[in-house]
Amino acid sequence: MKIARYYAEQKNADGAHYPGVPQRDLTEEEFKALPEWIRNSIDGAPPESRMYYKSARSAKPADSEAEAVEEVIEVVVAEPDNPEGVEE
Amino acid sequence: MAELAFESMSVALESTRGTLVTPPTHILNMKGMITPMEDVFDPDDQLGVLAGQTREEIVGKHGEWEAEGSADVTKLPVLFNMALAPVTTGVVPGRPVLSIAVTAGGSGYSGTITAAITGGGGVGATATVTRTGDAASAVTVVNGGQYYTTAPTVTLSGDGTGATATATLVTAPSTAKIWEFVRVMTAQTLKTGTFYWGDPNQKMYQGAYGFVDNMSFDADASGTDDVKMSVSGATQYPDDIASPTLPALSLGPLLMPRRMQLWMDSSLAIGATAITGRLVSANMDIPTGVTPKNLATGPTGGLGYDHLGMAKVTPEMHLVFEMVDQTQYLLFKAGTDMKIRIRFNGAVIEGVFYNYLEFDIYGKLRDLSWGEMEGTNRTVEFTVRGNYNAGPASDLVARVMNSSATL
Repeated sequence: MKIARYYAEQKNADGAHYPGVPQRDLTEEEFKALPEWIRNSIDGAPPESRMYYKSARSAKPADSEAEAVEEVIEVVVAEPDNPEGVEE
Repeated sequence: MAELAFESMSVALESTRGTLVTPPTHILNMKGMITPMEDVFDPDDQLGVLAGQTREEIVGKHGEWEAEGSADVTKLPVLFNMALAPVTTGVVPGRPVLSIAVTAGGSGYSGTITAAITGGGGVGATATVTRTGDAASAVTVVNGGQYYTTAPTVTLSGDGTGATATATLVTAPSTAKIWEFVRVMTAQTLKTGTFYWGDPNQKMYQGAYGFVDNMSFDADASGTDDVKMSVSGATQYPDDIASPTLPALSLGPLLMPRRMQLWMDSSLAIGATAITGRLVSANMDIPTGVTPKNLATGPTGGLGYDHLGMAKVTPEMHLVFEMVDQTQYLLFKAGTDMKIRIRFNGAVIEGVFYNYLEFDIYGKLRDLSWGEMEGTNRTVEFTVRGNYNAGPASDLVARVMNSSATL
């Protein structure tokens, strides 16, 4: 089943929840079955209190930061004018 | 209409008083409602007919809201911003004394060596000193006290000289935060809020420029309920709206009356003397004094209140004790000015830091009333009306300890 929203447990230290919404990844079917106001509330949560994300990477910020750093390194290494990959 | 299964109240503090904020930021976890109210004038016309009323005009419109439920340390800071003082940041709390170490034993001591613990911003720490031979050999903390921000000074005294000691505080918490609200006395700075009520599956109602006019708390250790809270106030006339996005629900730990703590002092600092083994119940009633002002606004002006004012009000604490001795009665009889701290405790956050709600109030024990309680001696009840105290420069201080990083 395709996941529609990924749950970021590590960002929910207070155990907050939306009524009737399980604290785990939500499938497409589950997300569509939610009342519109809950779907809007989940997707409209401000960044500091957001718990559900559309991408798995966004739901795991520690990993996504590491991956983002890796991406930067790859870009540095890949620059054609900087074959040694040295920061300028 | 279907059952309103998810009827709830929520609120968002307004950064500018009276300017609507959407969407709400805090669900209050309380049963409540906003009721539209209309002030109607019907003149006493004489038309020579038996109709008792000939015409009417709506002269004012507003909403009244009320809510009740469990006292919730995660939501109280928002409500106290509207009822007591604008405080939007919790801070690391002061701590108890963990231990006291003798740094020099001194000499010439033959009797009791006492330890006086002063300063450090806290209160209530006590300790005993062990003498070995003619020197102090150890200091044992009996009561760690509360709210020390720096290590207090320990002074060892006796019939010898030279004994010294230093105190160490409990490690600062990493999660616990304390929010202190000193009831405002001289400025119109209480926050207003945009209130939301209803079932987002059915219908929501929104009232801006909302304020709190009263809060009360009830805790009965002889019962089985948790600490209850009721709040009331008013808003501008509520509009029915499409469901806004709502924040996620989070519940604070239940505050249980049997975990209450009480300190009563007269000559010592507030919080120094714990009262144990007799407190049955406690009630706090906190009027805010916020009152709406209705002013003339011309032919196109609205019918809602235009400004908010502040009236003089007095918070009250009501205490019920089992009458195990004459202590509280004698304080009443003597008319002693008291400094009283009541704390409603919940679950531990970390180490020695607990979720709690606390009030400091200053006044005499008044309005004695004898009562009865099954399984106890006679009970005695008092009311304390909060007096202005120059220490905090207020008549009421409230503190909330929780683990919330933000309001």
